[in-house]
Amino acid sequence: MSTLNETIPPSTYAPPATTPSAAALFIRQTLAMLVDSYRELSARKLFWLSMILSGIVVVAFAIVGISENGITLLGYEVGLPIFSTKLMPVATFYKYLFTTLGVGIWLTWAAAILALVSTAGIIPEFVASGAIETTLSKPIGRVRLLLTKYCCSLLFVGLQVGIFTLCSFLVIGFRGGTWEPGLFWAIPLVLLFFSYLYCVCAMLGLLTRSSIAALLLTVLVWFCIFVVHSGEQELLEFRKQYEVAVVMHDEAIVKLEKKLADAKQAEASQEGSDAAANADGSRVMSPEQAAAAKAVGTRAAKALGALFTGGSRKNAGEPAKPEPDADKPAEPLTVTLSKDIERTKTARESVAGTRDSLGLWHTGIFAFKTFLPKTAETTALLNRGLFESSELADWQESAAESRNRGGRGERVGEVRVSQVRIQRAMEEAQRSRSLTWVLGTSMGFQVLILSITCFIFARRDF
Amino acid sequence: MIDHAVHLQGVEKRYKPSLFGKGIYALRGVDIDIPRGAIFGLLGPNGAGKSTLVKIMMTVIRPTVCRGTILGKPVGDKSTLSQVGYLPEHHRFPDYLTAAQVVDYFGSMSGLDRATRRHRVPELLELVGLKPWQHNRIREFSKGMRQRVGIAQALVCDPQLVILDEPTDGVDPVGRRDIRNVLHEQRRRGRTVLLNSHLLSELEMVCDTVAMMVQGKVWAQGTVEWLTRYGVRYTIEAAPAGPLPDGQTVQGAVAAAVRGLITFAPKLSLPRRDWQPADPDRPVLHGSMSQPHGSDSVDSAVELDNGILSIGVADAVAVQPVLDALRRAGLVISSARPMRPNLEELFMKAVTNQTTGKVLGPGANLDAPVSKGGDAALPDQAMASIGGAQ
Repeated sequence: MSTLNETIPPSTYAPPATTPSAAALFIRQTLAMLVDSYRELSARKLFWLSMILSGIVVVAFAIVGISENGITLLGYEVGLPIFSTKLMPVATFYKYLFTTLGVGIWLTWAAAILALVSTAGIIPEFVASGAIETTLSKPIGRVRLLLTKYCCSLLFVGLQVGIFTLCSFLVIGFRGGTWEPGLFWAIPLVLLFFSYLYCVCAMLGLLTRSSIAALLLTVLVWFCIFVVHSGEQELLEFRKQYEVAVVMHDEAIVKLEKKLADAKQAEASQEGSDAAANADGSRVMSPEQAAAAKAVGTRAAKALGALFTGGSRKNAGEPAKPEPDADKPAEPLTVTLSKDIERTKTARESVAGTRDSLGLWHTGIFAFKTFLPKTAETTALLNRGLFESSELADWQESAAESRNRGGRGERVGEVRVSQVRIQRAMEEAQRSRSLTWVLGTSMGFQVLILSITCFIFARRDF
Repeated sequence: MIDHAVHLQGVEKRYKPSLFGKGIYALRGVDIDIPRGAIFGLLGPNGAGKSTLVKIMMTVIRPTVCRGTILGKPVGDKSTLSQVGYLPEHHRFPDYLTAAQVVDYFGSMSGLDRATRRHRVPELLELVGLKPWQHNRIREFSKGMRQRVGIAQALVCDPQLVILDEPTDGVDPVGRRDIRNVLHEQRRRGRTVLLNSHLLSELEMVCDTVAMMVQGKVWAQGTVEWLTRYGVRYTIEAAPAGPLPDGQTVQGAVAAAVRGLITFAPKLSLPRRDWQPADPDRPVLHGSMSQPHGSDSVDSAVELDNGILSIGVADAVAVQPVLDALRRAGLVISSARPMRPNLEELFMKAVTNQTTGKVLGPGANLDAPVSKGGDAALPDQAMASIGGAQ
């Protein structure tokens, strides 16, 4: 009988002389996956399409400029005086262009969609039957494998944003005359923004093993986040509008009460002088005296209108209260003012009630939003870093005035609330949101989704 | 004591029942020992659990129960995998990479440094015959070429244990010969190879040891020679010296010559093998031959098919009375030799239910009894591992 002892030669097995250290193994594997991801991306046409489109956007930046009269294209003036060097310095204009169009529209919408389309297939292809077995059979833990693959997949956006920002930095430097290193904050911020979506995409790709399903469901999640964000922003705007309105009502009441006190004092002194005149025997008012008294009443009514606007004359616009008819006999000023105070107080209570109700709704949606990734707020952090709070204020005020024909604003209760004031309040509210809330909760969401993804990946049989 | 590269005990993999389906056992207590330096073949029908077993070894699938070691470390230890090369079945390498990039990538993932990879990658691609196409992308390759790339990546870390799942799938005969040479070279260098294949003739040519799996269990394990010795039969070809009288056949003449020694069953139309269809034009006679065994006697199975006698004995002495009887009847004996069954016959025996004659299906239900041995078990000795008490 033949056995293995006879048929197989003595083993010459000897373990390898040197095995790589854990650190060396880690570095080699990570570099290998990074290089592989670059090769994978560069093999995708969409990657190059995105890069070309990014280039076109940068070139567009370069050919746009501003002059005293408005926007210029290749040196030719095309109008739009709202963007002029009178209202905005050239450097600010380019920074505004970069954050609004470059980041706000291109990178976080169009390029993000292209990036999602391009990268949605990475995880499903990675875990596809026949592809994953070889990688899993290597000396690398599953969680590290997945996380490294995930991070390498973000390379797509990293490269794109990096090149785009660098080119924009150069354009702003040469065209705007300012070298703004703060622009490079766009790279981590846009990467973070994309990672919020891509972690969802990775989890769905692992679960469904389908690129299309992962992509469509991620877009759906993105849409839901957008709806919640838009809803929150709308409610915040209404809330701020009513908060400002309440403040303006309070201001109006204070002013009216002051006027009333003045009017009462004036009446009292008038009565004093009348009594003295009567005592002198001249009780009957001459026609000249009667006309002068009527004119005083009309001026008082006009002054009331100014009070209701609550702001400067520039923002005030038309008075909320109709002008009294000059032909009718004037009501005593104190009576008119008392009525106005009462009406304003009633309106203030009503506006305050609406404000409280809106505040409740906004707090609810804000609490819900806390658990979701803050896609818009994350990229808006770039504005906080690039612009001082007052840097765009004058221009925004001018723009609002231009849009609202003098910025009269909407009427709320007995006052007109100017859009500029609401915008400032909104801006303050946005800036008061801490980095911990914006980034911390979003990162928390990402960590949660990635933990679930790693758990599924680590336990799955392939 | 034999040094084992792989030592597995009681490996089980249960898939829990889904909402509408039944749970199944993919593996039911598999024990396997692979000596270092051997080429070990794993064979079995589809769904027998071969790939599941291999994937458990490579940490691709998590076992329900698993005890044992690979290269001296517990199964599942990731650090061991830097010394293991693996070619999965139906593998799919990234098609945007070139052949050299694939091998280099998996070399890096195994922990090879850049300098080693730089000379190892072209060497391996030359070994598998892909040197001229090393800078071509995988998407331009045929199935056989991809298989060669797969073998090169499995060997890139100079592994102590190479696990190849269907390595000759889609490879032409020249390629198969090349792969066999690679395997022999691995054995010569003291490496251990685990080969999972359906091509029984391939396995027979290269394997030192094989394990046959049926329905999640190891049906038999041992050297090819050792496993097939239990099916050794003597075949004797005899024919009349001259023309036969009208109405008489060679079959009839041989049957008549050995009638005193062999008792044939009256039914004459049994099929030759219960897994083969019966041929009515070639009736096979089945019978038994008694031989002394100590103070007692044992019966050996006999078949007579078209004048060829097949007697289930391995001892030449036992067939001498039959040869004498044939000569006495005037028949000319043209050959008398022992016949060893090949792996395919053994395989078919393993996968066939001996009672019903039907081929066994894949997997086993969770409620199926877990017993030692398959439905058609070899003699008890064959069930023992080759590393056991032989």
